[in-house]
Amino acid sequence: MNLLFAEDDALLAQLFQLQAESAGYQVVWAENGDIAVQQALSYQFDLIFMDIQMPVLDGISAMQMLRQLGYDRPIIAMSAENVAEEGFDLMLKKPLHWEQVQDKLAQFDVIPQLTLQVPHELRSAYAAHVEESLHQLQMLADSAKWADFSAIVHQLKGSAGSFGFEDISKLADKLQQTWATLSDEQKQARASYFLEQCKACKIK
Amino acid sequence: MQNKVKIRDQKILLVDDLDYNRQLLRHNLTALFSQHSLKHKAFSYFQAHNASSALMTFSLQQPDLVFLDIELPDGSGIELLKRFKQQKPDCFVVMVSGVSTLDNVKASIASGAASFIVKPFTADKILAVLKQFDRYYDKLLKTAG
Repeated sequence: MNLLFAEDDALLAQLFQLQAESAGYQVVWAENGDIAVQQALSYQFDLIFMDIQMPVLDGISAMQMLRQLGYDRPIIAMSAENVAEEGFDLMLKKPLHWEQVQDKLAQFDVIPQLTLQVPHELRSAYAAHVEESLHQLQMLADSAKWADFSAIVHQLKGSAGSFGFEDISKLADKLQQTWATLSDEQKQARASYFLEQCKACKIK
Repeated sequence: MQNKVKIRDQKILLVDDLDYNRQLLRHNLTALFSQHSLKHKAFSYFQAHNASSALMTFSLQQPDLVFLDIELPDGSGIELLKRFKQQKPDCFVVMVSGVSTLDNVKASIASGAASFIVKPFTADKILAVLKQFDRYYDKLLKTAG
């Protein structure tokens, strides 16, 4: 069972992670409500534990935002106070006791994961598109046309993962994270490195 | 008039600059509609590859459900979203983006988006949106009828 644990107290989160993982659960920690919303929207979690008092975005607002966006998986509130807001599936009183948490966890089911269907021809056509994009990127890098270069990298980041080329998506994401801070000279080196890494990925 | 609303196909508009993304989305929408117990599953598809063609297709077809990429080559999806909602306030618009920052999500909700999908696409994300649309459309028909 995959759990998302949204809690700003790092020690509490570590303790929970330790206990849950030794009982066979997978846990991802989100340190505030903002990160919790972003993580939840990946739809990888069977259950979310949501602390109420968190920085950036509190647990109630995070839950309400997710519900507004149609998120229909269980969310458990954690608080020392009573929580009356509609939208939570359960309320856990803090401090948490692991035995009690485990008891509650038994009420929830693992949500079966669906597979995205990628027809063979579409995947092949997309693979050819990636090859073509890498070729274009090489030419753009050679002529230092960084705006166009960046646009294609952005497109690869968004689309490659959907077609089963997660490696390319991840490399593109990594490049994007620091791209804006680089000088033109650094961009040249970074672009070459990126293209080498992409070429090492299995695209066919 | 009310009967007409009930029997006609729902119209779905897919807006993304990359043809492969639209094909992938359409293929999986069809698959999910047929596999899951959704009430509303009669549909016809329309597609657009940029903001200007999306606006034209939207005005002509008045779709019920829109998947709208935020980053379009000739404009922002959020601006487009506002214009869609002006034309057809009950239209269910799902924003699609590679960037799931809270600002993006908040701006989308504030401009009238019903949902938000973070790329890459997964079947679970798409199904969650379809279920949400199903509930929404059901309510809409009940209020209308």
